Parts: sequence; structure tokens; C-alpha cells
Amino acid sequence: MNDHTNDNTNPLHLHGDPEVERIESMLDALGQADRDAMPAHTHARMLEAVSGVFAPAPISIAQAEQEQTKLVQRSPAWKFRIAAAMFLATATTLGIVAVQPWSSGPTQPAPTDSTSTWSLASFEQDFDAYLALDEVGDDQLDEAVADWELWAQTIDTDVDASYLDQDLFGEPTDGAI
Amino acid sequence: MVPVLSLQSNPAERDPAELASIIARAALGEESAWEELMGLYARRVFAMARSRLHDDDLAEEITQSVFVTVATKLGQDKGSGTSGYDEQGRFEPWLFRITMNRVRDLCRKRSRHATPTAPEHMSVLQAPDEPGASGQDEFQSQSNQLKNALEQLSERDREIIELRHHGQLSFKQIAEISGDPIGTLLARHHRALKKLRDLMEHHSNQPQNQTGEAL
Repeated sequence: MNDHTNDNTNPLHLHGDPEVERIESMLDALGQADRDAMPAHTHARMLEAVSGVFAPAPISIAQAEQEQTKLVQRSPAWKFRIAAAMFLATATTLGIVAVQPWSSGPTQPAPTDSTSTWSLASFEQDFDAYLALDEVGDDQLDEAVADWELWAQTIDTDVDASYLDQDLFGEPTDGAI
Repeated sequence: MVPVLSLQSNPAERDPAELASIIARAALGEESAWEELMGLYARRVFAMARSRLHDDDLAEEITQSVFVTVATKLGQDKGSGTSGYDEQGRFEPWLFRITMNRVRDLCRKRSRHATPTAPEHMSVLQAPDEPGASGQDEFQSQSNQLKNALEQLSERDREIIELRHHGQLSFKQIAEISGDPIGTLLARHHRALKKLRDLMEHHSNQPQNQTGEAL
């Protein structure tokens, strides 16, 4: 029979069945076996884990202030490092620029190229032709425009006359168009 | 007749005032108080977890996790001299409620990622049941049958059995954990024992293979 601490088994829980009592005893034994199976090192591990809960915070406020002070004291060194880095970057950029071919300046002769010379001549010829056309075509264009205006007026007159002949503004005719 | 092992040790009877004193010292982080608490409860918590999980490492992990939770709760408001734990006189139900919840959570996670149990692992539950074996072997065989029968109990019945026989709690304490009336618990416990008996009888009446598994 179970003899647990604080056992408040009441008389209603009497089994009377020896087989049931045997099962209960076996369960007690099984529980005991499971309790005894706990490894010996578990206590030490648990104590370590629990002590971690009660351990003080890793960085106190005073320590944090000290760290801040150290950072402030360290700042001149950082400034020097940044200046040195900027100097190095500028020097490198200047070096790269100086080495580039397009930085040689106007004193050197321009490279001669037959293709570019031909292109320049062709462009000059085209430009001259355009100017000539502009000068020549001015009078002829004016005359052409005057002719087109006269022709347009003629068309306008013809159209007006044809509309008047059709009597479009007369009596309506049952909606027929 | 199967030799029945008597209980070798019981939880030491603790005066409630003495237990309250230990808890108060533990709340302040006193190591000796924690040693006492672990001496009283660690094995019982471990047995609860082991019975359900059949895994010593997991049972150890759960035991550790339960005590860390208790320490965290007890250690709350340590600076102000008050404790986050205010269930005076109900330490054990509280401790085992945490344990049951942890075990349940882990069982749920395991069932979600369940894989078929390898036959070599099944042998842990089903040891050989050879005729003519020594008394100790016979007892081992009966224990294995009992473990198998436990697996077939409902979740609630099994919890009552484990809280009672592994956690060594009184029915009053189990009632505080489950919220059931003591009468209901007693009846459930009795029914569970009878069911275990029937399951074991049924198992022993069936022909078995070499590993003791019913065919």
C-alpha cells in the first residue's frame, strides 16, 4: 500500500482486490526506480543553472560609465586614423588620375586619324550646301506660299457656293438626313 | 509470486514552516537552500518526466528547466525583499504543475514530429519474458508490462498515476493541481489501477514472441 507523505487516502479508497494492490505496489516500485535513475551529476548541473538566475548582471551601470569614458578617451586616436585614411584615399586618387592618358594636356600633338579628317570635310560640305539652299530657296518658297493661298481661297468660295445650293437650313424632313 | 519492492525512501516529512523558510532562503539565491529543495524534489520531478518520455537526457533537461523556472519566479523582486512566488503552502502542487506542463509540451512536440520507433528502442519497454527466469528478471518483465499498460491509459488517468506514484503527491495535492474533487480523483485512480490490471492480464494471456511482445 502506498505510504506517501501527506497521504490523505480516505476509507473509500480501500481496494480489497489483492491484484489491484499488487499493481499499486508495482507502480510505487516503478516510480522509485525512475527516481533512482536520475544521474548523479544532475544536481551539480541544476545548481549551476539556478545560480545563473541569481548571478548579478554582467555589466553594472558603473562599469558601463567606465566603458563610455574609455571610448571618449580613445576618440583622438580615431580622429587621427580617419585623417590618415582620407590622406591615403586622396593620394591614391591623384596617382590614378595622373597615370590616365586623357590627363596628358593640350601641349601634346593630337593624334592624326584619316577617318576623322574625312568626316570633318564631309560635314563642312553638307553645311555649305544647306546654306546655299537656304539662300536660293527663299524667294521661290514665298511665291509657292502665295499660290497655295490663292488656291485655298478658290476652294473656300466653291465650298460655300455648293452648301448654299443644297439649302441645308430649310424645312426639316422627318428626321431623314 | 512477483516480488514486490517496498519503497526504499520517501520524501522527508517537512514542517510547512520549515519548507517556507527554505523557500525564502532559496528566493534570495542561497545555494544551501537550493541544495535542500533539489534534494527534496529533483528526483521526483525527474521520475515524472522519465516515466513519460523514456529518455534520461530529456528527463534531466526537463528537471533542470523546471528548477530554473522556479528560481526565476522565486527570484523576482529579490531586490525589494519580496518574492514573485506567493502560493504559500502550495509549493509542491505548483512545482509539479510546472513539471506536468513541461512534459505535456514536450510530448506534443514529439507527437508532431513523430517517427516510427525502432525495434531496438522498443526492447526497452518489452524485455524478454522467459519462463524460468530469476525473480529479478521476472519482476523486470512485469515492470515492462506495466509500462506498456501505462502507455494505453488515457492522458488524465496516466497523469494521476504518475503524480501519485512517481511524484509521490497526496491526493489533496493532486486535486490542487488538477482542480478535481478528491473523491473524483480517488475513483479515477482506482479505475486506472483496475484497467492496468486488466491490461496486464490480457497481455500475459496472449502468446508472445521472443521479445515479450504480444502477437
